[in-house]
Amino acid sequence: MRHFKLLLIIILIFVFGCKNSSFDAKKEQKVPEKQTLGLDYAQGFRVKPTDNGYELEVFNPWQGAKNVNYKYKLIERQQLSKTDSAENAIPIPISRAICLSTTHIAYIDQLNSSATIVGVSGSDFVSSSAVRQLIREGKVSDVGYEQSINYELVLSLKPDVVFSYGVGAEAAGYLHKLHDLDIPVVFVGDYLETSPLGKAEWLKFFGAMLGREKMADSLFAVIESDYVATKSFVENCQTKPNVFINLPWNDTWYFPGGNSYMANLIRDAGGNYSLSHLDGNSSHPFSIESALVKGMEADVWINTGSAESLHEISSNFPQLKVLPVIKSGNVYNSVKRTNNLGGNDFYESGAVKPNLILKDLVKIFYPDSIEHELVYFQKLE
Amino acid sequence: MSLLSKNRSVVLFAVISVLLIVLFFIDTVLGSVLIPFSDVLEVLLGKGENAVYKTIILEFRIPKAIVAVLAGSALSVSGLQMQTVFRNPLAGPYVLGISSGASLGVAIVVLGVSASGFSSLSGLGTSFSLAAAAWIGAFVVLMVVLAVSLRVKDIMTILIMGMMFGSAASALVSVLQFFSSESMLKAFVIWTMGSLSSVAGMQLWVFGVAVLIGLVLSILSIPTLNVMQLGEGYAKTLGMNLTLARVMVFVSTSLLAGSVTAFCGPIGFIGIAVPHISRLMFRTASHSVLIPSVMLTGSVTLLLCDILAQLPGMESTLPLNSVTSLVGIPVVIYVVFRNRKFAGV
Repeated sequence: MRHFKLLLIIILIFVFGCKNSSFDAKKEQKVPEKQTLGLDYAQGFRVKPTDNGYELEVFNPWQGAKNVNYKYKLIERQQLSKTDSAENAIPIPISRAICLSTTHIAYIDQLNSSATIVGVSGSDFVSSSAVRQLIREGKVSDVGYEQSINYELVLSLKPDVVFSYGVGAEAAGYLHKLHDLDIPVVFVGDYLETSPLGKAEWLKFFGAMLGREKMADSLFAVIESDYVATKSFVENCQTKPNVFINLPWNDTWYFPGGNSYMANLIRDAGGNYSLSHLDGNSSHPFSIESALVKGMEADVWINTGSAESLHEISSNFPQLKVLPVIKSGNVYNSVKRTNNLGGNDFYESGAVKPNLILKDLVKIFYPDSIEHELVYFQKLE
Repeated sequence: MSLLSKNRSVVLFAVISVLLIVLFFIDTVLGSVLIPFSDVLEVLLGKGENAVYKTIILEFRIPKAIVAVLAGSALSVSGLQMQTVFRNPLAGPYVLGISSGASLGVAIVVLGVSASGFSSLSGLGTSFSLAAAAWIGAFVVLMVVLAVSLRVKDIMTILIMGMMFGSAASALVSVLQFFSSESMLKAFVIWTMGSLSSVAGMQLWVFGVAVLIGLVLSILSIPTLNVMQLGEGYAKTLGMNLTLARVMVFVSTSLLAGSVTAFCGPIGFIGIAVPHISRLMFRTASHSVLIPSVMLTGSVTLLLCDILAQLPGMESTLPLNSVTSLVGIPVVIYVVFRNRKFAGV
């Protein structure tokens, strides 16, 4: 029986292994490398140069989407004649953009183009000092959230494009409405990238939009080499710390899958994510009891939700006091760059600077390894 | 006949009490982490050395089972009181709008705080501030209901007023939900799903004392409840002080249902169903039998629901509210159809 199981596992590995590799091969065939902007990590988009601009494709831009893709034609502004107003045509470089997520702001900000932003969703949560300044000056408006978007304001801002995070097609009524108003909506699936560098690589997406492709390429190259260097620095560490993550909601503890963004960051920083066996990118609910058992082995605990002190954790969840990691105090939260209105830059500029997040984590996991002052994380007192 | 029914009651009380103890024990033994029976016994006898098992049993499971017993009694007693006072089989602990008031309190804390610019509480579902907010919400609704009931003679008017206040509170909650972010919505939705394990340490004492006071008030109300179920006109001719009787029942109900909502979230179904189950089992309308019987039956039912919600052996759990409904609805339908009086209606 045991042999049979082993055989079955081997067969399964072969079947799935083969399937994956053939899938990769197909993808490469379909996208001749010369014609596309070189993308090494991002899975969610593709930029193909055309005679008068780019063709932009966005794949599966929301959680659970399958075989969904959106094509947008980016056409150089001078060449955009009135007769040529094809569906989904966006004049580039864009000069007026509305960002429905703060990560979009981070990409644009990194490309020194924050003056392009004319509208944001939830201005309180913006961290970028440049954009905050523009909000104070009244040059950037708050267009509201999802269903409560202020359409009249959006129209009056005359945006070239609205950057939206993907939501299920059924729930996207407000996006249809924008479409009906002839405002191009572009889905940005950066938040679904499981590779931290893949998320940062969306810089190239915004580079194509803003006519700053070269800048995006060179910025990304710097981020990439820094990230890879930090990663290889800890790659050969023998004793990896066990890393525990998140805070329970009531009696349920949600853990990200073993191939999620956070899990990949922990792995690259030389940590051993306590629940790396969980599959995929989605989050998995655990009862607080079973979470406690997993947490007993943790050496480090990160991302403690809204808890900002050890006292806050132990007063709200007195049962967690038994965790050795609470006694040792190796508890860190990514809230160092939270503004007084609740916006957290970890979710904004952090998307573009995975190299800094990685350095934070390496410093936390191996305090004596590198000279680095924590940027996004802080130790809970 | 009377002797027969008395014997029947005694036997039933004995059976339910034994069941309560057995289920309390099962709830302590079973959970998503499989702990060998011998280890459970060791911990219970104070001999266990495994720190995790100790924490799980002494700080998760036993407090949770105690909360289940208290909340089960509280909801069932307040449901019975409301059914009697309003003489309506569909009344439950929440008809006075108490849970809606509590929800509004929680919604203001969870969803409204970010809008007002204070630091966010989302995710900290167990924080004492949530319970306090829920209590204040329930208390405000109670005050309004009491104010109305002092002026209004007809009990039906109070029922309607309670429902209207409840709807108004729900409408305000919707407004807050509409303007809140995803993570706050999640914190709020998870609160509405109900949970017995958020009550720990100091909170358990506060909860326990509040529920016990509510239960004592309801026991003191037994004679008036017996009269009130015959109708308010009859009660008046007996020279009863209706206003005082109402105030006592309303305060007790708010204390019971309000505390459960504050600490465990709005747990549905138990409060409506258990009084019916008790009435059919004990075949009596006397509150001196019904009140203790719903206390026991309510505790047993909620313990059973909690055991199921824990999905013993699995790493995940189910939301308590779904289990109370899924377990309870078939029971009530069965009970209702077996009973000729109800089936004939």
